[in-house]
Amino acid sequence: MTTEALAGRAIAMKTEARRRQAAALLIVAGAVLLALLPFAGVRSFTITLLTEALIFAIWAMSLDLMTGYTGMLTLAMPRASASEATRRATSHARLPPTSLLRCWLPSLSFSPSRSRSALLQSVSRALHSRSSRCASHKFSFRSLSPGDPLRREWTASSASHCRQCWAGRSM
Amino acid sequence: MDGLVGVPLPTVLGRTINVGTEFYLLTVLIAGAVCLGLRQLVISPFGRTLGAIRVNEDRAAAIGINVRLHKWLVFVMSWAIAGVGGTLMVFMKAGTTPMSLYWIESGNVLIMAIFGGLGTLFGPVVGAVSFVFLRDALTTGFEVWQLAFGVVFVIVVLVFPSGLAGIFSRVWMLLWRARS
Repeated sequence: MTTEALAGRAIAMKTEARRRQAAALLIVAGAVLLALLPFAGVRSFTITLLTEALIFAIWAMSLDLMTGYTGMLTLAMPRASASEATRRATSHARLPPTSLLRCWLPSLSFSPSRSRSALLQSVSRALHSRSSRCASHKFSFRSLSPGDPLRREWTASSASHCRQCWAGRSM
Repeated sequence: MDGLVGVPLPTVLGRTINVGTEFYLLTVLIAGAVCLGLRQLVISPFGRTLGAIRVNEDRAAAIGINVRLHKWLVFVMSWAIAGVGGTLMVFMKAGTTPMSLYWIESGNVLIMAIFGGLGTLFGPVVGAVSFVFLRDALTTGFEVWQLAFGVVFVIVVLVFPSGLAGIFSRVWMLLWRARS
């Protein structure tokens, strides 16, 4: 390779690096601009729409990585987001982990007519189920025997805290 | 609609994030980080390898690229990012429903990516923002907004095969060439 060709290649690489740097700066500038919108008097409805759009953008970017860059076409993307969303919802709302299975597994069943009724029933069960743990002490009532008065009291009540919380005793 | 509802507000570093401006700022921060991270990924040698696999899988395997491993890695990374989006959505809507597994959701995301421009990182963002605002505008004027959106989608695909981001990309390249 001649000296001129090497010099030309170096200039091209330098230009490409600058272009990439400028693109990165553009992304940061765009994010800053978006972050300033709520303080510029934009309506709260528009902000809600933008929030939804940005979440969709995250999904679309992840799909683009698979389809646009690697060539793998998939329509199963919401499975990933939905399962993570359900996991997050169950852990954050202190629902028992089994509610996740109760909610989604029937939808994967092969019988559409049976799965629909099973899904509705299981979602209803999951919604009405309550954590078997005290919200303050993380004390599992499942560790108690079925005949234990504390467990019976917990099952009968609708509170999310154990009796020890009310009595002020430490568990 | 049934589902898991009543999810509490998210907390970041001990601070509760309220739905509205605070949650929007969190979403902007996460979306920006995802965008920058993916950009670094696609311009890295790993990203170039993905391009080679997309263009010709057999030839990529013939030159020694472990196609299966690369596809598996991309699959894992892509689904992890989708999980981040799902987490944000559950906090935004304070719950989740079995409808989020429906194929229309997949179709919408694919339409956003194609609308914005596949193979460009900027495209899906433009596509998603355009989709949401166009859907909002069309639902006020049309009862069957999907039909109206379909017409717009076909026009965009026919006139701009590289999507909406393709227009911005061309302008950006023209500006860059004029500058240098």
